[in-house]
Amino acid sequence: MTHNNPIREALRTAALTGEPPAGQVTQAVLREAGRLRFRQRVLAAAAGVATVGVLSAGALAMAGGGQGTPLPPAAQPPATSAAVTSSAQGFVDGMKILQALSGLLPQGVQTGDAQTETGYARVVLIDEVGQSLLEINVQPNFAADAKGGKPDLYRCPEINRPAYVCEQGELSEGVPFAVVQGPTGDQPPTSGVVRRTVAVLQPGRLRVVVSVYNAVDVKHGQPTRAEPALTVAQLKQIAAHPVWRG
Amino acid sequence: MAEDLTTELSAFIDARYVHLRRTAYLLCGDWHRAEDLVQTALARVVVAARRRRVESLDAYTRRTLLRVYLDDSAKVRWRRERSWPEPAETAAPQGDRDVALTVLAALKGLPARQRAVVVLRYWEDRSVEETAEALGVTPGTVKSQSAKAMATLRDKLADLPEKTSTSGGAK
Repeated sequence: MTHNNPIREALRTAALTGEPPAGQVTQAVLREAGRLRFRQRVLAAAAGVATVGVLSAGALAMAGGGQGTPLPPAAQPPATSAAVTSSAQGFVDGMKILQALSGLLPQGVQTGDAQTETGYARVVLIDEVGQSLLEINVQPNFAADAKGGKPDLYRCPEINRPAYVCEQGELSEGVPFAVVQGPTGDQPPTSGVVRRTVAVLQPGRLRVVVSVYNAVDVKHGQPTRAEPALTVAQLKQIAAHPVWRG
Repeated sequence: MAEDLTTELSAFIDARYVHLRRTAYLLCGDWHRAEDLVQTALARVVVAARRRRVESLDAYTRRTLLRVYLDDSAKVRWRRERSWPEPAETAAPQGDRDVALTVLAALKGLPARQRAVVVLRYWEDRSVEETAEALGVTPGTVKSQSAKAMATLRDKLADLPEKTSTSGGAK
């Protein structure tokens, strides 16, 4: 470490030289936090309404047709997809990701609290078993070449943890995918919390990563159920869905 | 109870804002953008802390600041010049200003994640494991990114004034 001390000193000089005076920001931060929370609540409500709308439409179709055909899990384009931007770039908007995701969830799964940021959406899934956190990351222009053309976020061959499964393959359409299952990898580990993750590299270097946990507070909380709410097959359907291509 | 939490969060912001702003400045090279990054990160931390128990506000804030910075970097990549303006004229001694300019220019040459690794390891003094946890990558990735970044920095900072020269101790 000794040989790095000059770097530390250089960083210190860079940070402290010409530093402008810092104003009082606490109240501004608290106000911004209030606005952020309000936006999240509005978003969660909108996502809930969208889910209820899709479920209601499905229920009406079943009642009207008399065929008893269930909604296919995560197969139909979401009812809100028309509102989603027409370019892949648009899907880095977290709200639009959440909106599109709502239409891809299997029947019987409802949404609770949600949080978004650029490229990401996190939403609590609620079914008859309990709550489960789902995270999705949509990343256009993924630099696949740097990783040998595989959507390998997790470097499967390098992972050597107990109870950890990491596999790669191709979907029937020739779309590469990676599946990771096991403990979250957080340090310190959260007892009993596990995740399932599917990463898919869609045509046009569009990477979609969907993770689901058997907990809501995955870093500090307790598991809310034995298994995450969605299966690997359901995650694959969501991640490989063409809706993300815009 | 909510008032207690707000008081605790306010005290945390008061105590940590200056340091966080310096960290953000080393990441982005612009004091105004650094303030934006820190305030955005702190607002998210406040929201999270009000919703659930956050074990370590420091660690959570560090992770959030990095996430905000990396997201923001992706958005402003196309206008990188704007995101790294020249440091403002100051009354600091000329020698220190030269060092600061050289260091910032060297940092500017690093990819965003390598900058983050350097700042966490050598400014925040975080271990490889803590850095990996904050960035959501493996310790091996941190080591490789750190090695690449240090090689670049040693090369670019070789001509620094004697006070902070990196050449003497480099192995």
